[in-house]
Amino acid sequence: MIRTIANRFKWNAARYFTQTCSINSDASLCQNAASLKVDQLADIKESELKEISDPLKFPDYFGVRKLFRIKDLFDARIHYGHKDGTLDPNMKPYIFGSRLGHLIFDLDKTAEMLQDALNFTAHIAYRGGIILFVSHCPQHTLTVENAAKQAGEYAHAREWDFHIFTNSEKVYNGVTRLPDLVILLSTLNPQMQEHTAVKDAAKMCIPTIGIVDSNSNPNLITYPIPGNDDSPAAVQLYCNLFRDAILLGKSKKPMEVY
Amino acid sequence: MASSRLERIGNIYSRVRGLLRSGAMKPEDKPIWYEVYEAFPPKVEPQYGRKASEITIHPIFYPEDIVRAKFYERFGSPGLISLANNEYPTPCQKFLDRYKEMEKGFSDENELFEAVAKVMEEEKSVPESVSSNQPDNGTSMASMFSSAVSKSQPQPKINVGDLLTEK
Repeated sequence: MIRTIANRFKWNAARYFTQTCSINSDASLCQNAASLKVDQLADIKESELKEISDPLKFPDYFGVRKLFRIKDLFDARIHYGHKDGTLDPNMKPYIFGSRLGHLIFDLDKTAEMLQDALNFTAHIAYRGGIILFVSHCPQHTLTVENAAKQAGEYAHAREWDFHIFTNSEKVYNGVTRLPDLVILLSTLNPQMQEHTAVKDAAKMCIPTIGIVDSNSNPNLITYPIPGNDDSPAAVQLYCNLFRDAILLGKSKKPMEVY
Repeated sequence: MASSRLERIGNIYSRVRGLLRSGAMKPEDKPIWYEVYEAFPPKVEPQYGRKASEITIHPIFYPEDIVRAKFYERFGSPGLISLANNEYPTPCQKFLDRYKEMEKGFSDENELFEAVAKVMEEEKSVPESVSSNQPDNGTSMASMFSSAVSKSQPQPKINVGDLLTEK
Protein backbone atom coordinates (compact mmCIF):
# COMPACT_ATOMS: atom_id res chain seq x y z
CA MET A 1 0.00 0.00 0.00
CA ILE A 2 2.66 2.43 0.98
CA ARG A 3 4.89 1.26 -1.83
CA THR A 4 2.39 2.32 -4.51
CA ILE A 5 2.30 5.82 -3.11
CA ALA A 6 6.07 5.83 -2.89
CA ASN A 7 6.22 4.76 -6.53
CA ARG A 8 4.25 7.81 -7.50
CA PHE A 9 6.74 10.01 -5.74
CA LYS A 10 9.68 7.98 -6.99
CA TRP A 11 10.26 9.82 -10.22
CA ASN A 12 9.87 13.14 -8.45
CA ALA A 13 12.32 12.20 -5.73
CA ALA A 14 14.77 10.74 -8.20
CA ARG A 15 14.65 13.90 -10.26
CA TYR A 16 15.19 16.07 -7.19
CA PHE A 17 18.19 14.13 -5.99
CA THR A 18 19.75 13.83 -9.43
CA GLN A 19 19.45 17.59 -9.72
CA THR A 20 21.28 18.08 -6.47
CA CYS A 21 23.85 15.55 -7.53
CA SER A 22 24.42 17.28 -10.85
CA ILE A 23 27.19 19.31 -9.27
CA ASN A 24 29.21 16.11 -9.01
CA SER A 25 30.15 14.66 -12.32
CA ASP A 26 30.04 11.10 -11.04
CA ALA A 27 26.79 9.68 -12.44
CA SER A 28 26.90 6.37 -10.57
CA LEU A 29 27.14 8.15 -7.27
CA CYS A 30 23.98 10.12 -8.11
CA GLN A 31 22.07 6.99 -9.02
CA ASN A 32 22.97 5.27 -5.77
CA ALA A 33 21.95 8.31 -3.80
CA ALA A 34 18.58 8.46 -5.59
CA SER A 35 17.75 4.81 -4.95
CA LEU A 36 18.67 5.16 -1.29
CA LYS A 37 16.35 8.13 -0.82
CA VAL A 38 13.42 6.38 -2.53
CA ASP A 39 13.58 3.49 -0.07
CA GLN A 40 13.49 5.96 2.76
CA LEU A 41 10.40 7.56 1.18
CA ALA A 42 8.64 4.22 1.45
CA ASP A 43 8.96 4.48 5.20
CA ILE A 44 7.03 7.75 5.32
CA LYS A 45 3.75 7.12 7.02
CA GLU A 46 0.50 7.43 5.20
CA SER A 47 -0.68 10.03 7.68
CA GLU A 48 2.28 12.28 6.99
CA LEU A 49 1.63 12.12 3.26
CA LYS A 50 -1.96 13.12 3.90
CA GLU A 51 -0.79 16.12 5.89
CA ILE A 52 1.45 17.32 3.12
CA SER A 53 -1.49 17.52 0.73
CA ASP A 54 -4.31 18.45 3.14
CA PRO A 55 -6.43 21.11 1.41
CA LEU A 56 -7.05 22.85 4.72
CA LYS A 57 -3.40 23.79 5.00
CA PHE A 58 -3.53 25.99 1.91
CA PRO A 59 -5.05 29.47 2.07
CA ASP A 60 -6.74 29.10 -1.33
CA TYR A 61 -6.55 25.45 -2.37
CA PHE A 62 -9.34 25.69 -4.96
CA GLY A 63 -8.36 29.03 -6.44
CA VAL A 64 -11.62 30.81 -5.62
CA ARG A 65 -9.82 34.13 -5.66
CA LYS A 66 -9.59 33.95 -9.43
CA LEU A 67 -13.35 33.65 -9.82
CA PHE A 68 -14.09 37.36 -9.62
CA ARG A 69 -12.58 40.82 -9.57
CA ILE A 70 -13.89 43.93 -7.84
CA LYS A 71 -14.86 45.35 -11.23
CA ASP A 72 -17.23 42.39 -11.73
CA LEU A 73 -18.88 43.26 -8.41
CA PHE A 74 -19.22 46.87 -9.50
CA ASP A 75 -20.68 46.00 -12.91
CA ALA A 76 -23.26 43.73 -11.27
CA ARG A 77 -24.35 46.68 -9.05
CA ILE A 78 -23.44 44.89 -5.83
CA HIS A 79 -22.41 48.14 -4.18
CA TYR A 80 -25.94 49.56 -4.18
CA GLY A 81 -27.63 49.45 -0.79
CA HIS A 82 -31.04 50.72 0.19
CA LYS A 83 -31.69 54.17 1.62
CA ASP A 84 -30.45 55.71 4.87
CA GLY A 85 -33.68 55.19 6.73
CA THR A 86 -33.76 51.39 6.33
CA LEU A 87 -30.18 50.84 7.45
CA ASP A 88 -29.70 48.06 9.99
CA PRO A 89 -27.16 49.35 12.56
CA ASN A 90 -25.20 46.09 12.37
CA MET A 91 -24.39 46.78 8.72
CA LYS A 92 -22.61 50.06 9.44
CA PRO A 93 -19.07 48.68 9.29
CA TYR A 94 -19.64 47.50 5.71
CA ILE A 95 -21.02 50.75 4.31
CA PHE A 96 -18.66 52.97 2.35
CA GLY A 97 -20.89 56.04 2.55
CA SER A 98 -24.20 57.52 1.58
CA ARG A 99 -24.62 59.14 -1.83
CA LEU A 100 -27.58 61.52 -1.55
CA GLY A 101 -29.37 59.10 0.77
CA HIS A 102 -28.45 55.92 -1.09
CA LEU A 103 -26.07 53.66 0.83
CA ILE A 104 -23.01 52.35 -0.97
CA PHE A 105 -21.20 49.20 0.18
CA ASP A 106 -17.45 49.09 0.63
CA LEU A 107 -16.52 46.64 -2.13
CA ASP A 108 -13.08 45.96 -0.65
CA LYS A 109 -14.71 44.45 2.42
CA THR A 110 -17.34 42.70 0.34
CA ALA A 111 -14.66 41.15 -1.86
CA GLU A 112 -12.74 39.85 1.15
CA MET A 113 -15.81 38.32 2.74
CA LEU A 114 -16.96 36.88 -0.55
CA GLN A 115 -13.59 35.15 -0.95
CA ASP A 116 -13.90 33.63 2.52
CA ALA A 117 -17.40 32.40 1.78
CA LEU A 118 -16.45 30.90 -1.59
CA ASN A 119 -13.45 29.18 -0.05
CA PHE A 120 -15.64 27.68 2.67
CA THR A 121 -18.18 26.54 0.05
CA ALA A 122 -15.48 24.85 -2.00
CA HIS A 123 -14.12 22.99 1.01
CA ILE A 124 -17.57 21.77 2.04
CA ALA A 125 -18.24 20.58 -1.52
CA TYR A 126 -14.86 18.84 -1.55
CA ARG A 127 -15.81 16.93 1.60
CA GLY A 128 -19.09 15.79 0.09
CA GLY A 129 -21.35 18.11 2.04
CA ILE A 130 -24.92 18.86 1.04
CA ILE A 131 -25.37 22.49 0.07
CA LEU A 132 -28.76 24.17 0.05
CA PHE A 133 -29.43 27.41 -1.82
CA VAL A 134 -32.22 29.36 -0.13
CA SER A 135 -34.01 32.42 -1.42
CA HIS A 136 -37.54 33.61 -1.00
CA CYS A 137 -37.56 36.39 -3.57
CA PRO A 138 -39.92 35.22 -6.33
CA GLN A 139 -38.04 37.27 -8.92
CA HIS A 140 -34.91 35.16 -8.48
CA THR A 141 -36.39 31.71 -8.02
CA LEU A 142 -35.37 30.53 -11.48
CA THR A 143 -31.82 31.86 -11.20
CA VAL A 144 -31.26 30.18 -7.85
CA GLU A 145 -32.77 26.85 -8.84
CA ASN A 146 -30.76 26.74 -12.07
CA ALA A 147 -27.53 27.48 -10.22
CA ALA A 148 -28.24 24.66 -7.78
CA LYS A 149 -29.01 22.25 -10.62
CA GLN A 150 -25.80 23.13 -12.42
CA ALA A 151 -23.81 22.70 -9.23
CA GLY A 152 -25.44 19.36 -8.53
CA GLU A 153 -26.76 20.62 -5.21
CA TYR A 154 -30.12 21.59 -3.75
CA ALA A 155 -32.28 24.69 -3.67
CA HIS A 156 -35.28 25.91 -1.72
CA ALA A 157 -36.49 29.02 -3.46
CA ARG A 158 -40.13 28.87 -2.48
CA GLU A 159 -42.12 29.63 0.63
CA TRP A 160 -40.33 28.20 3.64
CA ASP A 161 -42.18 25.48 5.55
CA PHE A 162 -41.48 26.29 9.16
CA HIS A 163 -40.42 22.91 10.47
CA ILE A 164 -38.16 21.77 7.66
CA PHE A 165 -35.00 21.93 9.75
CA THR A 166 -36.27 21.79 13.30
CA ASN A 167 -38.75 18.96 12.90
CA SER A 168 -37.56 17.41 9.66
CA GLU A 169 -38.26 13.79 10.56
CA LYS A 170 -41.94 14.51 11.12
CA VAL A 171 -42.30 16.71 8.04
CA TYR A 172 -40.66 14.21 5.68
CA ASN A 173 -41.83 11.15 7.55
CA GLY A 174 -38.45 9.46 7.78
CA VAL A 175 -34.80 9.76 8.67
CA THR A 176 -33.41 12.91 7.09
CA ARG A 177 -29.97 14.33 6.59
CA LEU A 178 -29.90 18.08 6.94
CA PRO A 179 -27.71 20.23 4.69
CA ASP A 180 -24.13 20.87 5.75
CA LEU A 181 -24.19 24.42 4.38
CA VAL A 182 -26.99 26.85 3.64
CA ILE A 183 -26.35 29.63 1.10
CA LEU A 184 -28.91 32.43 1.39
CA LEU A 185 -29.21 34.64 -1.65
CA SER A 186 -31.38 36.98 0.38
CA THR A 187 -31.79 36.93 4.14
CA LEU A 188 -35.21 38.58 4.01
CA ASN A 189 -38.54 37.13 2.98
CA PRO A 190 -41.07 39.12 0.93
CA GLN A 191 -42.52 40.49 4.17
CA MET A 192 -39.16 42.19 4.88
CA GLN A 193 -38.60 40.02 7.95
CA GLU A 194 -35.60 37.82 8.62
CA HIS A 195 -35.87 34.55 6.72
CA THR A 196 -36.67 31.61 9.00
CA ALA A 197 -33.75 29.65 7.57
CA VAL A 198 -31.26 32.00 9.23
CA LYS A 199 -32.47 31.24 12.72
CA ASP A 200 -33.21 27.58 12.05
CA ALA A 201 -29.79 26.86 10.56
CA ALA A 202 -28.18 28.51 13.59
CA LYS A 203 -30.35 26.33 15.81
CA MET A 204 -29.41 23.12 14.02
CA CYS A 205 -25.69 24.02 13.98
CA ILE A 206 -25.59 24.39 10.21
CA PRO A 207 -23.18 27.05 8.92
CA THR A 208 -24.75 29.72 6.74
CA ILE A 209 -23.43 31.97 4.02
CA GLY A 210 -25.74 34.89 3.36
CA ILE A 211 -25.93 37.96 1.16
CA VAL A 212 -26.85 40.68 3.61
CA ASP A 213 -28.27 43.88 2.21
CA SER A 214 -28.21 47.16 4.11
CA ASN A 215 -31.58 46.40 5.72
CA SER A 216 -30.63 42.90 6.95
CA ASN A 217 -29.08 41.72 10.22
CA PRO A 218 -25.82 39.78 9.70
CA ASN A 219 -25.36 38.65 13.30
CA LEU A 220 -26.65 35.09 13.03
CA ILE A 221 -24.98 34.35 9.70
CA THR A 222 -21.66 32.50 9.84
CA TYR A 223 -20.13 34.05 6.71
CA PRO A 224 -22.11 37.16 5.80
CA ILE A 225 -21.44 38.89 2.50
CA PRO A 226 -22.54 42.53 2.53
CA GLY A 227 -23.97 43.46 -0.85
CA ASN A 228 -27.01 44.11 -2.98
CA ASP A 229 -29.48 41.24 -3.01
CA ASP A 230 -32.22 42.85 -5.08
CA SER A 231 -30.80 43.39 -8.57
CA PRO A 232 -31.17 40.40 -10.90
CA ALA A 233 -27.63 41.05 -12.17
CA ALA A 234 -26.26 40.83 -8.63
CA VAL A 235 -28.12 37.61 -7.82
CA GLN A 236 -26.97 36.10 -11.11
CA LEU A 237 -23.38 36.92 -10.25
CA TYR A 238 -23.62 35.39 -6.78
CA CYS A 239 -25.27 32.25 -8.16
CA ASN A 240 -22.54 31.88 -10.78
CA LEU A 241 -19.78 32.36 -8.20
CA PHE A 242 -21.20 29.83 -5.75
CA ARG A 243 -21.88 27.32 -8.49
CA ASP A 244 -18.30 27.68 -9.73
CA ALA A 245 -16.90 27.34 -6.22
CA ILE A 246 -18.89 24.14 -5.66
CA LEU A 247 -17.79 22.68 -8.98
CA LEU A 248 -14.17 23.56 -8.19
CA GLY A 249 -14.49 21.83 -4.85
CA LYS A 250 -15.96 18.73 -6.43
CA SER A 251 -13.43 18.63 -9.25
CA LYS A 252 -10.52 17.93 -6.93
CA LYS A 253 -10.75 14.32 -5.96
CA PRO A 254 -9.45 13.36 -2.54
CA MET A 255 -6.09 11.58 -2.65
CA GLU A 256 -6.79 7.90 -3.18
CA VAL A 257 -5.38 5.53 -0.64
CA TYR A 258 -5.60 1.86 -1.60
CA MET B 1 -26.58 12.21 19.27
CA ALA B 2 -26.78 15.41 21.29
CA SER B 3 -27.29 18.79 19.77
CA SER B 4 -27.66 22.32 20.94
CA ARG B 5 -30.40 24.53 19.53
CA LEU B 6 -29.58 27.70 21.43
CA GLU B 7 -28.88 30.04 18.55
CA ARG B 8 -28.58 33.09 20.82
CA ILE B 9 -25.77 31.68 22.93
CA GLY B 10 -22.33 31.79 21.37
CA ASN B 11 -22.23 30.57 17.80
CA ILE B 12 -22.45 27.19 16.09
CA TYR B 13 -18.73 26.59 16.46
CA SER B 14 -18.60 27.28 20.19
CA ARG B 15 -21.61 25.07 20.81
CA VAL B 16 -20.32 22.12 18.81
CA ARG B 17 -16.90 22.50 20.39
CA GLY B 18 -18.55 22.39 23.81
CA LEU B 19 -20.49 19.27 22.88
CA LEU B 20 -17.34 17.54 21.64
CA ARG B 21 -15.30 18.47 24.69
CA SER B 22 -17.93 17.35 27.14
CA GLY B 23 -18.34 14.06 25.31
CA ALA B 24 -21.98 14.61 24.43
CA MET B 25 -21.05 14.40 20.74
CA LYS B 26 -18.69 11.63 19.70
CA PRO B 27 -15.66 12.52 17.55
CA GLU B 28 -16.99 10.39 14.69
CA ASP B 29 -20.19 12.47 14.68
CA LYS B 30 -18.22 15.66 14.23
CA PRO B 31 -19.92 17.77 11.54
CA ILE B 32 -18.28 18.15 8.14
CA TRP B 33 -17.87 21.88 8.50
CA TYR B 34 -16.13 21.81 11.88
CA GLU B 35 -12.58 21.41 10.64
CA VAL B 36 -13.14 23.78 7.75
CA TYR B 37 -14.43 26.42 10.19
CA GLU B 38 -11.38 25.89 12.41
CA ALA B 39 -9.04 26.32 9.45
CA PHE B 40 -10.89 29.32 8.01
CA PRO B 41 -12.85 31.11 10.73
CA PRO B 42 -14.99 34.08 9.68
CA LYS B 43 -13.43 37.52 10.06
CA VAL B 44 -16.23 38.56 12.40
CA GLU B 45 -17.52 35.91 14.79
CA PRO B 46 -21.26 35.47 14.44
CA GLN B 47 -23.01 36.38 17.64
CA TYR B 48 -26.71 37.02 18.11
CA GLY B 49 -26.69 39.99 20.45
CA ARG B 50 -23.60 41.79 19.25
CA LYS B 51 -24.09 45.53 19.71
CA ALA B 52 -23.86 47.61 16.61
CA SER B 53 -20.72 49.72 16.40
CA GLU B 54 -21.04 53.49 16.68
CA ILE B 55 -19.93 54.43 13.21
CA THR B 56 -21.28 57.49 11.42
CA ILE B 57 -22.10 57.01 7.77
CA HIS B 58 -20.43 59.79 5.83
CA PRO B 59 -22.12 61.33 2.82
CA ILE B 60 -20.24 60.84 -0.44
CA PHE B 61 -19.56 64.11 -2.23
CA TYR B 62 -17.08 64.99 -4.92
CA PRO B 63 -15.66 68.43 -5.79
CA GLU B 64 -17.40 68.12 -9.19
CA ASP B 65 -20.81 67.98 -7.49
CA ILE B 66 -20.94 71.77 -7.21
CA VAL B 67 -20.46 72.08 -10.96
CA ARG B 68 -23.05 69.37 -11.54
CA ALA B 69 -25.59 71.20 -9.39
CA LYS B 70 -25.03 74.44 -11.29
CA PHE B 71 -25.29 72.60 -14.59
CA TYR B 72 -28.64 71.03 -13.76
CA GLU B 73 -29.98 74.29 -12.44
CA ARG B 74 -29.07 76.04 -15.67
CA PHE B 75 -29.76 73.41 -18.27
CA GLY B 76 -32.10 70.94 -16.68
CA SER B 77 -32.10 67.24 -17.24
CA PRO B 78 -31.77 65.86 -20.79
CA GLY B 79 -34.60 63.42 -20.10
CA LEU B 80 -33.70 59.79 -20.35
CA ILE B 81 -30.18 58.70 -19.36
CA SER B 82 -29.20 55.05 -19.73
CA LEU B 83 -27.13 54.21 -16.65
CA ALA B 84 -26.06 50.89 -18.13
CA ASN B 85 -24.53 52.44 -21.23
CA ASN B 86 -21.00 53.67 -20.55
CA GLU B 87 -20.14 54.48 -24.16
CA TYR B 88 -21.71 57.87 -24.69
CA PRO B 89 -21.06 60.65 -22.16
CA THR B 90 -24.09 62.57 -20.97
CA PRO B 91 -24.26 66.35 -21.51
CA CYS B 92 -23.29 66.85 -17.87
CA GLN B 93 -20.20 64.65 -18.25
CA LYS B 94 -19.16 66.52 -21.38
CA PHE B 95 -19.61 69.78 -19.52
CA LEU B 96 -17.43 68.53 -16.67
CA ASP B 97 -14.69 67.43 -19.05
CA ARG B 98 -14.67 70.84 -20.70
CA TYR B 99 -14.73 72.51 -17.28
CA LYS B 100 -11.60 70.64 -16.23
CA GLU B 101 -9.85 71.58 -19.47
CA MET B 102 -10.59 75.28 -19.07
CA GLU B 103 -10.02 75.39 -15.32
CA LYS B 104 -6.50 76.72 -15.50
CA GLY B 105 -7.43 79.92 -17.30
CA PHE B 106 -9.81 81.23 -14.65
CA SER B 107 -9.59 82.00 -10.95
CA ASP B 108 -13.24 82.75 -10.27
CA GLU B 109 -15.60 79.73 -10.31
CA ASN B 110 -18.60 81.67 -11.61
CA GLU B 111 -16.64 83.21 -14.45
CA LEU B 112 -15.31 79.79 -15.41
CA PHE B 113 -18.81 78.33 -15.34
CA GLU B 114 -20.19 81.07 -17.57
CA ALA B 115 -17.32 80.70 -19.98
CA VAL B 116 -17.74 76.93 -20.27
CA ALA B 117 -21.52 77.32 -20.61
CA LYS B 118 -21.02 79.79 -23.46
CA VAL B 119 -18.61 77.49 -25.26
CA MET B 120 -20.86 74.48 -24.91
CA GLU B 121 -23.97 76.40 -26.02
CA GLU B 122 -22.17 77.54 -29.10
CA GLU B 123 -21.25 73.97 -29.86
CA LYS B 124 -24.82 72.97 -29.07
CA SER B 125 -23.60 70.11 -26.86
CA VAL B 126 -25.98 71.10 -24.09
CA PRO B 127 -29.76 71.59 -24.14
CA GLU B 128 -31.03 75.14 -24.15
CA SER B 129 -30.94 76.71 -20.76
CA VAL B 130 -34.03 76.49 -18.60
CA SER B 131 -34.83 79.86 -17.01
CA SER B 132 -37.97 81.07 -15.31
CA ASN B 133 -38.15 84.20 -17.53
CA GLN B 134 -39.14 82.20 -20.60
CA PRO B 135 -42.07 79.93 -19.90
CA ASP B 136 -42.59 79.10 -23.57
CA ASN B 137 -39.03 77.98 -24.09
CA GLY B 138 -37.61 74.76 -22.79
CA THR B 139 -38.99 71.30 -22.20
CA SER B 140 -39.83 71.44 -18.49
CA MET B 141 -43.21 70.20 -17.36
CA ALA B 142 -44.17 73.55 -15.87
CA SER B 143 -43.48 75.47 -19.04
CA MET B 144 -45.28 72.91 -21.22
CA PHE B 145 -48.30 72.98 -18.96
CA SER B 146 -48.53 76.76 -18.87
CA SER B 147 -48.18 76.98 -22.64
CA ALA B 148 -50.88 74.31 -23.09
CA VAL B 149 -53.26 76.19 -20.81
CA SER B 150 -52.77 79.43 -22.70
CA LYS B 151 -53.26 77.76 -26.07
CA SER B 152 -56.30 75.68 -25.14
CA GLN B 153 -59.66 76.52 -26.80
CA PRO B 154 -62.51 77.60 -24.56
CA GLN B 155 -64.76 74.60 -23.93
CA PRO B 156 -68.37 74.83 -25.23
CA LYS B 157 -70.74 74.95 -22.31
CA ILE B 158 -72.96 71.90 -22.11
CA ASN B 159 -76.36 72.21 -20.49
CA VAL B 160 -77.24 68.79 -19.15
CA GLY B 161 -80.89 69.74 -18.82
CA ASP B 162 -81.11 70.49 -22.55
CA LEU B 163 -79.55 67.17 -23.39
CA LEU B 164 -82.13 65.29 -21.38
CA THR B 165 -85.15 67.29 -22.61
CA GLU B 166 -84.21 66.95 -26.28
CA LYS B 167 -85.19 63.35 -26.16
